[in-house]
Amino acid sequence: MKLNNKYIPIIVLILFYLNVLRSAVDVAIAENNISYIILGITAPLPFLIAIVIALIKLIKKEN
Amino acid sequence: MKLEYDDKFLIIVTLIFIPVVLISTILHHLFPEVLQVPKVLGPYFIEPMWLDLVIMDVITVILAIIVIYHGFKTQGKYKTTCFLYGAIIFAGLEEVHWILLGRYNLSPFETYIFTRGGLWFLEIPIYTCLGWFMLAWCCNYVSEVILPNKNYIFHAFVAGILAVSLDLWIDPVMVNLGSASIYPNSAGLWVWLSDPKDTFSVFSIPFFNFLGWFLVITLFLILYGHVLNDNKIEIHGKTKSALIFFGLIPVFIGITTGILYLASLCITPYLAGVDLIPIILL
Repeated sequence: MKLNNKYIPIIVLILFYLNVLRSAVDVAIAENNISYIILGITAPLPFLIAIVIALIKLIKKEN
Repeated sequence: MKLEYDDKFLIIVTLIFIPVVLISTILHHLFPEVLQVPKVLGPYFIEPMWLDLVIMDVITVILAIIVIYHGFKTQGKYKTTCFLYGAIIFAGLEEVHWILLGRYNLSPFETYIFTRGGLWFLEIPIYTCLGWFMLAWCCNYVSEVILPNKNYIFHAFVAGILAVSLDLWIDPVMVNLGSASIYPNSAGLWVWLSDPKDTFSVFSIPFFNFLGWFLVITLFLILYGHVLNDNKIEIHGKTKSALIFFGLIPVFIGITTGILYLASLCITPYLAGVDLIPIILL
């Protein structure tokens, strides 16, 4: 399967997000504080919504 | 084999950049006393430490190469080269200037330091510089996709907001990453040195960090969109356009710094010591 170029920035942003999530889980376990996970779902909401909208638009454009 | 202008441009800029990274890295690791690098243990997750540093740099470079590839395919080598090195220089110099001002007590308040890094660009780890490049590029792309009919200034603002919304989470996590380190008493990936009583904080992180993030991403993208649009490149030519672009970076860094100082003067007297939603209370 050939990866379309137009998805590259979105995939990179998702990898970026997952990398921070991995660190947030480590810190949450070490400090026994779930705040770091909650923050990961709430604070970057504009970022996450924008990625989802961009993905939908790109997929629609392709079809 | 005859190289085209864009290839030569990429090679020349890279050849200028590499010695700066090599000298910075040697200074940071072998002669830390030159720039008075504080001895703070950063977070490490595997042994030996150098392997941890190498893995982080290699992963970041691979991700950056993927984004550069996207740039080559969509905007061409010339514009991607300008974006890559422009983002590194803009964000790098902005951060270095704050770090060194704080370190040498030239700023009204203490700032921050990075605790770990393999390769360095001045006093900034390379993974941070490349992180700025990738975030600026990708957030700008997302804003162009979701709002295709708006101009580059609007896209820059949206990209700035997207990046800041992500950093509202990144900063609290990375600053506390030391607690997950394999070594006891490790600090986070970077350390804020300012007294929380002297600053206005959000999620226990100085507010000016988030304002700085927004300004760096937005102003850099405005500079890029303004100087390096296809019409202007055609009028000025590629060499002159690159000189204008890189020449204006210090001006835009000055604007960013000015806005941050002005905001500090306006906000700090009223909100110093306030921590809007401390991370511990979430």
